[in-house]
Amino acid sequence: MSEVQVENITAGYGKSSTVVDRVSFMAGAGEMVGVVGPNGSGKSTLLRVMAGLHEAWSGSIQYKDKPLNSFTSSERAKTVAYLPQFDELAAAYSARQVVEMGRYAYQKSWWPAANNKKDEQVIQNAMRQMHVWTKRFHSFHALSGGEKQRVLLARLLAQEPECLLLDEPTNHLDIHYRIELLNYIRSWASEQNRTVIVVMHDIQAAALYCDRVLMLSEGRVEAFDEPAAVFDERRLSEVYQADIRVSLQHEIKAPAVYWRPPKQEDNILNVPLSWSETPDQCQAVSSVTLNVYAPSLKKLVYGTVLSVDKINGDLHIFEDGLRRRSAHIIHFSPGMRIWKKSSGPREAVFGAGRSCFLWLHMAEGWPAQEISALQLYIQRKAFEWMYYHTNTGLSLRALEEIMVTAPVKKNETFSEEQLHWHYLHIGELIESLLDDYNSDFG
Amino acid sequence: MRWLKNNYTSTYLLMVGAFTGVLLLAVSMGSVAVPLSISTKAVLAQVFPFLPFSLETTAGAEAIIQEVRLPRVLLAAAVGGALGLAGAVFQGLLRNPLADPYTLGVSSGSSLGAVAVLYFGWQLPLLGSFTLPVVSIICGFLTLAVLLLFVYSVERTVRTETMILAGIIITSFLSAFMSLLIAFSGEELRQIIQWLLGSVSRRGWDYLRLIVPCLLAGALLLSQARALNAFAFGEDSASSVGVNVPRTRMLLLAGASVLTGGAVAVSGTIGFVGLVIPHMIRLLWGPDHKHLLPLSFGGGAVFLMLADLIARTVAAPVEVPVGVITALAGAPVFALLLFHQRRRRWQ
Repeated sequence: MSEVQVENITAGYGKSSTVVDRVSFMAGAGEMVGVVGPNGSGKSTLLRVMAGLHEAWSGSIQYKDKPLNSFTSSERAKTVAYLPQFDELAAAYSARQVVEMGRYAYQKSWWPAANNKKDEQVIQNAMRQMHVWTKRFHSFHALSGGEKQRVLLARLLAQEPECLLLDEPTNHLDIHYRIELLNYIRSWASEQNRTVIVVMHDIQAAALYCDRVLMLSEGRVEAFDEPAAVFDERRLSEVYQADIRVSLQHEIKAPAVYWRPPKQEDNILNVPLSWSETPDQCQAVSSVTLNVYAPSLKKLVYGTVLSVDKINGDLHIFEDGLRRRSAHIIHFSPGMRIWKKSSGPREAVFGAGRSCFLWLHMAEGWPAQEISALQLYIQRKAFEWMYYHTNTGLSLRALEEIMVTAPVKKNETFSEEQLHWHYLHIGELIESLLDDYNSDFG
Repeated sequence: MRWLKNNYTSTYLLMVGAFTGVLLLAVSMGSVAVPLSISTKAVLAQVFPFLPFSLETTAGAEAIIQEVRLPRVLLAAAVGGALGLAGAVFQGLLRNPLADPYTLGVSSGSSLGAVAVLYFGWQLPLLGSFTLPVVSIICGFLTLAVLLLFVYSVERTVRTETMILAGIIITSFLSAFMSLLIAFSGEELRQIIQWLLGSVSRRGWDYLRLIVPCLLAGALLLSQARALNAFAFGEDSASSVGVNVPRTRMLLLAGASVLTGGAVAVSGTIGFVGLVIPHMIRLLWGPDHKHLLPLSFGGGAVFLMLADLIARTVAAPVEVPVGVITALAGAPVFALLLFHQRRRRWQ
């Protein structure tokens, strides 16, 4: 027997804007069903309809074979508990008073000051289960995001519902609380043999926790099945309009959903390269990496890894496109995206702590050729600078990050305020670099 | 005050004590000072007529207390209580700390009715001198009906913002009418202004009888304390914990409006009580409506009795409008409370 039965629900706002379109699904006891889909796909509206807060245009919803619209308000509250996405508390209630609100449907005494013992017991149990009993006298406003969410969940549990409807319960929670909350919801469903229907933006979490997943797209059911069947690379990419990858994880028996940062080939083509790869000499002992990133364009306009051979203890830099093979190697590989500073798995490959990142805000609408010219110029100057400082004994480890946060405008000289340096001595370098650049190209 | 925070028995005892004390003080003080013992007896004789009290006083003092002061003081208590309770309900229901009994414009309707009666000098048959409060209260209800009709025709699921906006529209519209009447008024001007400033003087027992039914209707609100708590997270949350939102909201609106309409009809628009008393109570005892509602009622009653006492004694024989006293005395007290509360939070 299914606990929750949704049949052909169509709902929307106003007169004609359909948000949920003929949605049907079922959920059994002890089952956790995830509702996923892009923004505006009707997830929250579906949940509101199921909670009886929004009237459906057509279709029916049944809890334990009893139609939702035959419930009275308090019967409904004892059957379904709903956690909205946004919940703002008007006054400074204590955590315990918030949980007590969940008992409304059970408290029917005329004089409301006294709670009966059952209510007290349920409130205490719910708060202990969510580990917020010690916070019961704290003001709700003073709690952290994770604690607030657990107090709200305790309020839902105090309703002793058959079915929980949660709208993005892990929103704004850090990974610790997210895991804790999802673990708890999962075990509540299994142990109490009750139903949880949860709207999730985090597809990975849905894959890990839900028994079945209802995927909505533009209000319609795109798929309703086990996560492994629903989270198909092609379907995800289509529904979310993004390049999403899925790999099967045998260890946890759930698909792993991930994606890749954008590719840059298009931009790389415009860059007049004067340095090229020589594979036979890729024996970098120490290396320098340099990335140019344009946040205003929201992508890496130019990604390079430049490694400099130091076999002979000498660093030589190519200049003016001349290649002197014996002296040094510059390895250029636009496909590599080295985002980590000087730690992580790439470290072994490119040398420990020898990386230099330059993030440069580019003004939008700059001609590509100018950008690349500036980038090349800065690279070259950076190399010269590093060469100089290596020989004078300054550790390359200091060169972790160079950041230019102000947008670069053509012919603009840089004041110190515009430049945000993690290391002052790099500041001097870049300042002189940009001055040079402006005098050379400006 | 800290020790009172979670000790509600003491709190209620304190409230009852304050009420009794201020009541006796208020009937004793005035242009003719009456000893406390005599005034106590006179009050008891009035309240419990079946008790065999031998009033060994001069008939004059007894008459002053029973016919003039006691009804006046009780009316102040009733109006203050009604405004405090209505304010607490409006703030809870509209989830807006700036809400007060006058937010929805019901009071403007009542005021306009009263001003019209004064302006045109109406005397309806059967009602006589009662014309003003009766017309006023009817106008208040008409305003509420118009407000609700308007709000429900705007959208089926009523949002509190819509209600507040509709209240502002109605208030400004009716205020314009009122200003018009005031602009055209001649000799009635003084009377109108006096009424608008609010006062509980020279009303007698009849006015008290008029507001008592409103108070009884308002008392029903006390049973909705839990629902008001549930409203604190918004109407969706209230609905999902089992509150029948449309019905409860209607009940609360109607109840609070009856209280406000009754208070405005008998005493004019006395400001500050309905806005600030609930805030004070909340600062001292927290936002739980189970206690907030009765304590706001008690607090409003005590506060307005005191304010009226000051109003008629401070510059005797001239009476200061009680609305002036409520703001003059209440604002600094409230500021002090707020200051202490916020300071404690920072430490």
